Amino acid sequence: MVRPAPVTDPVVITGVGVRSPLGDTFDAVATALLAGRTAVREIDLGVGMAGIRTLAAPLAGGEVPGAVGRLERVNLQAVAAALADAAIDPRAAGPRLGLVLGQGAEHLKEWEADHRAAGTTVFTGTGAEPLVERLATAVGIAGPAVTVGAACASSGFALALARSWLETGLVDVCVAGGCEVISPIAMAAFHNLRALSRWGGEAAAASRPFDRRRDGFVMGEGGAFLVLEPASRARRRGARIRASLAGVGMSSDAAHMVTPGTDPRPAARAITAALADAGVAPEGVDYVNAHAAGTQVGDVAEAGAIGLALGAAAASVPVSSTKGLSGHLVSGAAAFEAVACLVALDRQVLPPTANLDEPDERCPLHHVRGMPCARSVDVVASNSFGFGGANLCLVLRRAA
Amino acid sequence: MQSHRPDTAVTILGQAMLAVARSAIEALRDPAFPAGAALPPRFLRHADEHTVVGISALSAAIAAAGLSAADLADCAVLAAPRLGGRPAAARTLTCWAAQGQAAVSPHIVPWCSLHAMASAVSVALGCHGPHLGVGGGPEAVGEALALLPWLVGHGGSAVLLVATGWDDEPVLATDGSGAADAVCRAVALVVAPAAHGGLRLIHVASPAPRPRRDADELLRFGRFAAAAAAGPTAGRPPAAWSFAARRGGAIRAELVAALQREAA
Repeated sequence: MVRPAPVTDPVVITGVGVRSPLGDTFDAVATALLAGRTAVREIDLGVGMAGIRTLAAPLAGGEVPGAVGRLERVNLQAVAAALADAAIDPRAAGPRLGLVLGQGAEHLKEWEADHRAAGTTVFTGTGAEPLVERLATAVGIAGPAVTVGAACASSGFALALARSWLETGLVDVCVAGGCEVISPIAMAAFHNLRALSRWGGEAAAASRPFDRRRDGFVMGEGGAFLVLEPASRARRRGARIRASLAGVGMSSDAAHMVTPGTDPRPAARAITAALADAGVAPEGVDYVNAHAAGTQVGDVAEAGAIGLALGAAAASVPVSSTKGLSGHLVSGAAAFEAVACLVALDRQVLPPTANLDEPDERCPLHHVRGMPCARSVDVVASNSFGFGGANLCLVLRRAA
Repeated sequence: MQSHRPDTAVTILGQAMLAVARSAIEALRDPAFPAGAALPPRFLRHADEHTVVGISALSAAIAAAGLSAADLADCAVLAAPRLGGRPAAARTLTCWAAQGQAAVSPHIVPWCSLHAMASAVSVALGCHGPHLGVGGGPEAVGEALALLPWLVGHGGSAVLLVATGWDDEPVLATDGSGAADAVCRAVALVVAPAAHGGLRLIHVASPAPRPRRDADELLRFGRFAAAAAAGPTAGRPPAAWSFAARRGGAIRAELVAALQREAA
């Protein structure tokens, strides 16, 4: 990224709104992550899914996945919670408050939900206003509002764009992130793509990033929205600063529409660019929250990228994937994993990778496994990679 | 932290607009990619119509810019499909209702989600800069322009921008077929950062009233791109265009042609 000017006023995170399989508050998520409490289980999608063992990490509440309005409701809850956590009244902020939604397949999900309710919008092309507009209207955000899609990195790109808007002065405050919901079509499509775990044992052990016996990812739902604003503004209004969004790096594999490229250099470039943007050397990274979803190819590719980007420091920088506990939140994954990084910064404890019984020798990283790891944590990096080879790395720095 | 109004200078290196009847889209699934692009056979066989037409338009824009695939390695890609993926979604939902989960196409997610057109461009043309989809709804053009300054600043040599939509949303049969005369339109630009002159992209947040939804926005965008790429014309007043990024007027993205080069 080329920045418009030397940044003397970093962009900071002052609000967190989360809806996730691990809990709906920052403290609940922190407790679950550090207790190693997995949310993966067998679920009932409410429709026949012959031949599929429907393993997933659903939101609590017992709602039927795929129900009309659920995507909007879950995102709205997280946006509203983030604004409340930051103590921002959107209706008083006017057009200087923006919203960036990371959502990979809004229309597919809404057409599916409508079709299940005997609707015809998929055939006619008519339908509701865009989700981002409905969210903005519902909470009273009057500023810029857009949706970005980068598959499983979508909500991370939303955070990156929000930081750019703040750096260029387009807005004073921005809410960014995204939440996912599970639907029968999504689960069937990922299953038929052979991307989902077909684990036959205990459900809680199905999501196993970096483990030799991993066999695919487990879908989760939920995600998070973060409130971002310049540090000077946050301090003036006495806001609680959770961390700064210190670095962003982006790249593309340009290799395949589904599988990550075998060349680790493009993904490594995203990590390197994020560290350079943050002014952090590899040995200055205290923790990497890996994208690692538990797929054979993806985890190896990411381990190669981390190794290349961190060089000799890769032997000592702790790495874990929280997807072993939360499942893969798809569009919402990057924002949720930013929250996991905030937990590490806040509690000074690193969450472990669940179910990492036998680390794959092709993933030679300094894994945090089994137990959480207490240590000094000032700088964390969070990787997010999406279908089509979209690579993103965010660097968060502990508030001074 | 800067407090100025975002203002980015760019040059349009090449542009193209393509309008294709649905019945003619199949013939574009093996398009003439820019020289040097190496792709597996039938790369676009699972692609949505928007992606097929968008890549053809982009290939034409790249040719107009005089670039080859080798020039695109560090480019960013920004794609703005308007309700992309609908025919495939219709087919998928109908098959699923009749035959169950086994009939759900595994290609629906990678090829019909918001990112799909941007990813296909990145893979097809070997672009290693960031790529993403934007909008997805009726204001896709304005939303793409709202993000353009961000990607222009990512450090690559250019941004490949492509926006697509049906002139009129076709009414589909349950298997996604029908509406053979429906026209899919794509506007593609190759945009490079400029030190001064060329175009200025001014990004403004304002509580503007909701603009009327413009069914011809893509056509207007295509005409704008052609005029902007042609550059200033002596004796004519400066040209300006405004595209609402979000219905509701929260973003207004304007592109203003600078007739006089600014002082360096």
